[in-house]
Amino acid sequence: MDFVLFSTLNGIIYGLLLFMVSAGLTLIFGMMGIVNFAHASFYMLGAYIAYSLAKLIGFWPAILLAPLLVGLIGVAIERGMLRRVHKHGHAHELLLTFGLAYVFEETVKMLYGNYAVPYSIPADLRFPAFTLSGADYPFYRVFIGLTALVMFALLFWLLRRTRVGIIVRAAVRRPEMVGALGHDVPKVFMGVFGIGAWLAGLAGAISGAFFTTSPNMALELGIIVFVVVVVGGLGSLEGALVASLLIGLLTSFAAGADVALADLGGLVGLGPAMKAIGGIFTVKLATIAASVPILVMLVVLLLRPSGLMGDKT
Amino acid sequence: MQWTAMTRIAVVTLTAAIAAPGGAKAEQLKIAMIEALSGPAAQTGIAFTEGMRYGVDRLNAAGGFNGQPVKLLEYDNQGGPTGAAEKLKAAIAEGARIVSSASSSAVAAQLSEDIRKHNLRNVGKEVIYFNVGSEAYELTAEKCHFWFFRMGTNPYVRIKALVRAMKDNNVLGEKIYSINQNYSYGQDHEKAQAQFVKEAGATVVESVLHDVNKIQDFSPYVAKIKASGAQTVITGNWANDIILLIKAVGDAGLKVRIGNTSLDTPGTLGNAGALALGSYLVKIYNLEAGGAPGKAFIEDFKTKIGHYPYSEEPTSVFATALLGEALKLVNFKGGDIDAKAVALALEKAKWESPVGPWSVRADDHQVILPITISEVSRAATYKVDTTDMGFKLVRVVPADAAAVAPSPACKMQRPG
Amino acid sequence: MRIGLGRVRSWLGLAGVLLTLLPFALSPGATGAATSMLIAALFALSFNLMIGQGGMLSFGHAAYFAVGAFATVHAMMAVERGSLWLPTPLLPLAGALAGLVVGAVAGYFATLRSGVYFAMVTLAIAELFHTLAPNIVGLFGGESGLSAMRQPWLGLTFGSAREVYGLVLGWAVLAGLALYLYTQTPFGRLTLALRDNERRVAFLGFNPHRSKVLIFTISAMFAGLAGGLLAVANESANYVLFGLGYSANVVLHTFIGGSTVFLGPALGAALLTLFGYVTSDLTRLWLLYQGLLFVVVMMFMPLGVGGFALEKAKTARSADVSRSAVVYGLRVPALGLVAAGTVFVCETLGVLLSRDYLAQTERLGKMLPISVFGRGWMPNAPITWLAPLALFALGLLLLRLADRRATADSMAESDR
Repeated sequence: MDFVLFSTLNGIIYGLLLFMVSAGLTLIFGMMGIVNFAHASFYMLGAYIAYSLAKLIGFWPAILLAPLLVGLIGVAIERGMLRRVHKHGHAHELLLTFGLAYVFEETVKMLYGNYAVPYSIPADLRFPAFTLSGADYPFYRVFIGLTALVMFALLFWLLRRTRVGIIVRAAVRRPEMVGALGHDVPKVFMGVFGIGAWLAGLAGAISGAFFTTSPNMALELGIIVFVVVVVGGLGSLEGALVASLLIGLLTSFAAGADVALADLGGLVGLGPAMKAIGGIFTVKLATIAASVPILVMLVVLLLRPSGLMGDKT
Repeated sequence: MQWTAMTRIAVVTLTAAIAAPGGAKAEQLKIAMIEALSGPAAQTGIAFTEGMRYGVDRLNAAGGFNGQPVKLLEYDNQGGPTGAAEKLKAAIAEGARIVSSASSSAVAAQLSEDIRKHNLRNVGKEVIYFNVGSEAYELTAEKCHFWFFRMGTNPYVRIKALVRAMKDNNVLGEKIYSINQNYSYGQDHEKAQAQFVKEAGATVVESVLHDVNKIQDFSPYVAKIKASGAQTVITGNWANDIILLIKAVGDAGLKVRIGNTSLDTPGTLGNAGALALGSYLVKIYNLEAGGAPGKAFIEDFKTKIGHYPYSEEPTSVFATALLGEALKLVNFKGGDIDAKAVALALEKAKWESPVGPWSVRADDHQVILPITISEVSRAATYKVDTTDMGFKLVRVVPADAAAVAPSPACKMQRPG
Repeated sequence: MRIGLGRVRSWLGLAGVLLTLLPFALSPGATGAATSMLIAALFALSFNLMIGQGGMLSFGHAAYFAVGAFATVHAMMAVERGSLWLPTPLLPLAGALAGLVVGAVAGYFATLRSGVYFAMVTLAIAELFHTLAPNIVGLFGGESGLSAMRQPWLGLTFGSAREVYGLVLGWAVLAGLALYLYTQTPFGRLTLALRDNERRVAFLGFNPHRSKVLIFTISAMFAGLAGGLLAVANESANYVLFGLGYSANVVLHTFIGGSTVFLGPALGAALLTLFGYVTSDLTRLWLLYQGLLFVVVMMFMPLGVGGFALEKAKTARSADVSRSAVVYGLRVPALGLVAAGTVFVCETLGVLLSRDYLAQTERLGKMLPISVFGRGWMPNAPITWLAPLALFALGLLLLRLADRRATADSMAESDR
């Protein structure tokens, strides 16, 4: 029972973290049609910049300032690079971001080395939020989850309840029309790109201190974030939230699941045969927990390519 | 630009140009280090390579070999077995007779097989594979061959020493949780942990394998550890997988002791912070061990390389020292180098490290070496990672006590 | 286009002769590198069949490459055991066959989607292979992979780098020719139409899905062949071949070379493989330079190096040659200066911030010069930072000059 409770909590909070990173990615895709391969790099940059700043100006100011800088980097990339290659088509933009992800990772290695840097939360933040049947639940974990929730509320309010939101949403569907109405669509795009980068940077700055800050953090998270965005439906913010939670819970429970395909086969009487074949059938789910999201993405892509909440393919 | 590499190319070209017409000239012993010097695996690759540089410098300070200095060639394996295979061809073309590598077991398997095949095809021009750190057990078991030497530990050696030392210090507990990475190295660890925990009279309550360096959040595994009621977690995890595990265990307030093999990797203690205190580490060397000769070694290393050899460096230093002893047993009188004679000499050589003797077991070419057990502590003499913590020596396990019987799967064919 | 065909043929003939004679001029190590270049070139050509011709961007093409490599190693092992008769030169056919079969299945599902969704499906398939393969030891050999040995055939031992190069060259040329002829067939033309306007293809009475599956399958078959050649060259296959890195590399290669020109991807692949081979031993930052190169090409040469060159060749008339010679006489050194400036800064920073350098500085209490371009530079001397800045600024200035010159030229042109 404890295990179920803990796994649920862990899954939800990990899912919320995924949401913070994927929100920007899905918005950018929805508006600009760009699959931004460098998006997870913003997450990494957020963590590294916050690590550097924290030594100078302290932890809290650093996690506020670092995401802003990442947002500016995002704006610069959109304006200085993506806009220039826009005329060559979406595939070209995708390739450019792909190259940028590569460059970011190598730059971080050049500046900070191949090792994980010692970026961690201040000792006075390391206290349990509450205790559940003898095990502590760290406060900081709860803090990560709450931040993500606040961000979701903020984005939702911004998009649904403000005039800016109306323009942004309209620009997603009919950019030419919005442009014809006198709105500066490129500026809207730039803003959304910047905010997306800022959010990913925030997620990195906050969670890099809790998990690790290493040069491969972008690659590790990058694929999962794509999974979230695809499963949720490219372009859909609510979809991203639902999919984040789904993937978070799935990975959390898969890690604890002691079942193999052969056990499932056992339910229909194929167990012994599958065990005899061995190989893939006897691999425990916990062992391959990280590939579960990819499998989910594949199934969603093939059965329902618009994702759980997407409305266009 | 890495100056050493540039000069190396220049020197190699020059020596080739000069040596070409002669023919009867003494063959210079060239050791090629093929390691991950860029990319994600570089953190350990560079440490092993630094140790190698230091070790070869010491050989040369003692007069080199065959009337010439021993030459170290460094190659970046470009992150994987394919790149390594290519660099091996280049290394052999440049005249390397001893090839070394350390970290990735996938690369080691590739190089070991490539060298075996090369030697079958090029009798008289054989190459020795002098591995200083790859732990995959099969290298000295199913895949063992005469030209392969494992000059470092393997999971069985390490876990045997670790579990016994923890047991003797009364910190092993009765319920052990075994968590490892899902690939050959982690699987070897899982088997070794099961075997030696049982021998120590304790129980492995649960054992799990997980994806390698892909998991962001270890809390689900911590939930499992908690549910199992284990008092000790033994793991062969390295890099992010050990940092995240320690953090997740600590943040959940779980009171378990961790026994591990890679806490020394730079960045690990810095990241895990105080949560790592009390964890046990099993490693070839500890900075506090070895008395006066040990002190002399680490200070000299620091002067020459720039930092204390607290991580993987001692393995390659000690391995080259043993090689130096082997080279004293052969004499090619300034002619060509006979790799077979060197390999046979390696089987006979003995070297006294600061913590005890090193020698190679002829049956499977596994080095028999003393091993150290340390505890992460604030009381350690040498602090690492700019933290206030370091590795406090718990004990030195002598070579014969650390040794594990050779695998029956190793059927080495010796050249006639 | 028509005019140039004869000249193109004679150029290709010359290239063929040079490629054949190449190994006689190179060391065995360099011949190995040339072999890898050929394999990468064929892999890129197979990839480009999908993107350049069919408009399908695959982010998991390494899956079929790796499948081909494994199938070939299995065949090689069977030959070694004596349970299969297949001359060594025909081994890559096993790879092609496996690529075809797996490609047909994967392609059937992947091509149900298009655009970004297609890319995601291919990515997911490759990732699944990558995570599951090490768990299926019988098929993929676990982490250490599979290894086999080439058997002699018709007096050829296939033991030397030269013979292997010859074998790979033969297959690469044959496959390249087949791919080229394919683009000339009516169906090859249809492929182009699919890229440009899928709906129209449907109206013409073709089933777009079936056509796409066919293209996917053919592409996977050639990727499998390339993987088979790698397996023959290295006598091994490892699950890391399924990794994202290999899939990413082929994308990089293809677009740097230029996906709109038939031989562009092959050129890109060969050049970048050579780049990696040479620079990885010179600098730890070679991956960064490779990434920067890609970004720069994407920004300023959207059609890739090959496309750019072809466009220039097409528009160039004899009257323009002297004029564009001036422009390029400015542009090429300008780019060189910018690159030198970048490399300068990166190399200095890379050393300055490294763990060893920091430790060294702390120990000595002063900084030591960093060697870049064969000269020592003090990090705290302004010249160390001004020099690259000057290189950079000068390069940019020259670039602007060249641009202005080019616009002036084109304006003069339109006035006429």
